Amino acid sequence: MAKSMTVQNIIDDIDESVGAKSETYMLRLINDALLDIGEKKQHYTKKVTTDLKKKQRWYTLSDDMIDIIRVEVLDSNDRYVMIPKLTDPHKLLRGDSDSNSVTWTDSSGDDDSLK
Amino acid sequence: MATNKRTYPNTYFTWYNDDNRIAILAQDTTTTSGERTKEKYDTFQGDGSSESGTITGFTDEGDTILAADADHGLVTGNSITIDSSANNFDDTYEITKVSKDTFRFTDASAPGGGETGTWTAASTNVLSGLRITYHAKYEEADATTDNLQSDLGLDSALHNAVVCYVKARLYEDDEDIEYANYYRQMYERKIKKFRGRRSAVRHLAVTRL
Repeated sequence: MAKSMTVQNIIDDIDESVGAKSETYMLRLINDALLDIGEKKQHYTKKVTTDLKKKQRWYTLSDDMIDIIRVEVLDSNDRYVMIPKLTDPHKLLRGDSDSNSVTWTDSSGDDDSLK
Repeated sequence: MATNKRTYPNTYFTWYNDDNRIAILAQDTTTTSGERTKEKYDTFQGDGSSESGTITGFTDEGDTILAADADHGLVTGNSITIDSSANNFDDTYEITKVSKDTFRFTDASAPGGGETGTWTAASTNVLSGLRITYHAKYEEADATTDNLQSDLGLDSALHNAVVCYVKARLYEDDEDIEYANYYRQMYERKIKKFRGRRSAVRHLAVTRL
């Protein structure tokens, strides 16, 4: 099993093989690496919830989102059920201007969604 | 109106997104709607619960009251306003769903004999009613004590890939192209070889008896 590393472990490794660099620059390079890996592998997933609001069509997405895997609505039996993606929204939408921003919260509870 | 359809969300709800936003739509099944749009899908118009109901009885539980209403349609967290026959519970309460026919709210008052009532939903939202699962960027490192796995979410099998990436960038800075290419290839190889174990398909082999 691979050993978990800290940022300091990486800096120490680089110090030995390449030479000492500034901590700020090392953090920037490590963050660049994380961004690149995230785009290529896309195995890091998150769940967020927000209120389903009356008369609100648009919900602002978080900047850390790469792509959406599934969207669920809480049904009247208190279960999250996946809803389908609309494939052809252009024919349905005519100049909607609802653009309220929404605060999302982490959802770390058990997955009780229907499969 | 596109409302009261959360019992069958697979049929009635849909979504789409642009770069920064996601749109949630509910099917509009009312042909005589007076709304401005007559499209098949429209913005969600209700909170998913019945807008009103009849309470057939209150049960005293000490500090809480258990209210009975068959198929009330409420969910935990809904806010309702009650108008009770003996005026003991004429107030707005946040309820906890107990069953599809009962819900609970906090009030130390005792109900009158045979007291009944009506309720109306004061909430316009379904609390935590929308959940999105998505591929995310890793958390940003901002301290040398950050652990790549527990703090940033990066699988430990990819930690050496980060080292290779950083070395490639540093050798590029030094214009040492040979080493830079070497570490860049090492990085690409580690990324390519990595298979997320959580997303891997598992097969259960059952021996034929």
